[in-house]
Amino acid sequence: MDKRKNLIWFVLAIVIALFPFLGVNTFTVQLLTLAGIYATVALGLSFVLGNAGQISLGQAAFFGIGAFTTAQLITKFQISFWLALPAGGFLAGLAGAAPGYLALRFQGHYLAMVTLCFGLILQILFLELPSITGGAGGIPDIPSPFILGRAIDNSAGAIIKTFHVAWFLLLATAWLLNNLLSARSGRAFAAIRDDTLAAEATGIPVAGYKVRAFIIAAVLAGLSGGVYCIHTHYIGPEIFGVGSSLEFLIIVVIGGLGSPVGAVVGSLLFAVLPEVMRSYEEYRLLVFGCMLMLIVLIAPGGIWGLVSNRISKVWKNVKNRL
Amino acid sequence: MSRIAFDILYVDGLTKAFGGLVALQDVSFNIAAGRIVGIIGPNGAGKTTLFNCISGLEKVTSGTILFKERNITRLLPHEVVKLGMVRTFQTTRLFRHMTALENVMAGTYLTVRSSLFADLLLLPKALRAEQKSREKAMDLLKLVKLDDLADLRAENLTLSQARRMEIARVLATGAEILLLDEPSAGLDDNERMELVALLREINSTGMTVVLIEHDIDLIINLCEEIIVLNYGRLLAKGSPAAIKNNEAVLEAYLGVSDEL
Repeated sequence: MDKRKNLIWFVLAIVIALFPFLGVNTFTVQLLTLAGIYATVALGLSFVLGNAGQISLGQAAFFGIGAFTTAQLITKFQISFWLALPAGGFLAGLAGAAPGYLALRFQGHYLAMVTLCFGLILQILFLELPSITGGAGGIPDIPSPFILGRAIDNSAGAIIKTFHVAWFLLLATAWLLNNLLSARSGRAFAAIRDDTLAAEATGIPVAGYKVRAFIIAAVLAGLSGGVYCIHTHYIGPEIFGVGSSLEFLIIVVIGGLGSPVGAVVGSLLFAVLPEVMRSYEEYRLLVFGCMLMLIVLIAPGGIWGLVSNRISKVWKNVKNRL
Repeated sequence: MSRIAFDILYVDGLTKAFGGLVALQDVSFNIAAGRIVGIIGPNGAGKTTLFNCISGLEKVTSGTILFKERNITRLLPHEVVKLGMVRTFQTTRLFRHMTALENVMAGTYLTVRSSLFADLLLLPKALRAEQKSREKAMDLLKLVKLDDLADLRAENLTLSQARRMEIARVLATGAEILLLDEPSAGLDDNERMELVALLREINSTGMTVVLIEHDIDLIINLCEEIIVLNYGRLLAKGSPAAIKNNEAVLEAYLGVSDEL
């Protein structure tokens, strides 16, 4: 709203544009691309959980719908990535309306179970509909998209990299969500989170907003899935199962619920940590499980909640001394 | 019951049963626009159930509710609010993570319009709405004398402050009739007097106010008309003076016939 905030977004855009050219090796760029992809999904989930107060344990399903849609449109129909990507987001959003309507009938634990089942059903469909998803074999050889005649990938020669696509998508969606939360609709979501009955009695159409929250999160996951498929060039059903849904949940809780920065912090950890401890790969979930427990115990606001608390305290001290 | 042209609310033969338990039985009354009306009755008389039915929170078993000549019997709560009738709850219901100002701004949802699309892109429309909503909310906080606490988180307000903030929030919806469920519960004598003054002030702008109360003195002091419920039935309706001398009311409500 004020000029300073706009400046932050502008600076972030420049940092993202320049980052891969600051002497970072290709491996790191690859890793961070994945983090950016996860972060967009986590951003949507964090919004549903933290800002709208609804639970969704099937987020990977929308990630999958976006990925399969985009991949099929590119490989089977030779449609440009730039059209296939929004199509994937659109379809994921349509599918996202389903748990949104279920959220009108179920709350809390029941909603958690219902969305979990929704994720399971889609996981099975991904596997059992080979004509659409390639079945167990998935979809291989997904080509890189082109822009102005040049391929987009993370190779050293590419000017526009997959990294840019992933992180600019993240930046754009974070900007849109941030706008939303600072305006009338954002207050409506927050009111529903804090007291659904009072929100309804204040004239806020709760049902419509619950469905919207799920759709928004599903669209983010779907778009993210589209980017994922051109990043890995191969997608299979196992990536979009309930396990991944839980991983997204872990990302959001570890990073900090309801905060875009938290979603990014969690995703960075989740993408980078397995590489750091590569030789113990099979213990990845063990480590994350323990981290999750620790964080819930000592910092319910997640890592970002802890850090931003400290920063604001230090800032207050500095201000008082001056 | 005769129906007068300027009745803002008209309840006819309202019955609400929860399984075998009849909470309201054939309750009929009308409320004239611009009045302050009190609803009293012993615990379990059906007062809150009556509010729940009128505000669309409970589906009525039978009967009709007309608001401004319109049948609202089957509407959803937010649709009732949209037409201009809004209620508070017996316990304060705050958006506790928001500031007092934001709580009241949430109340302007229906009166200051914007769209999801405009909000997403922060279009001028959304910014103007935000500004307008902020000004309106601030004016209402001034009315309820909370403007100096505008930026305090709602969960940190005292009970008396929280109740006044709720009144500001329901006023923000642009309602023409307020249904207040025990607004004075838990307040001390001073706070009660402030509340009475505030409700008088709000009523003086033409707002119809209906309140459920246990404090008989407050009701008799404040209201122009009193509705008495007992065991889900309408026992009496009339001016404070008439109610004070109504044999049936004294018998049923106070359990004695020679007091008051």
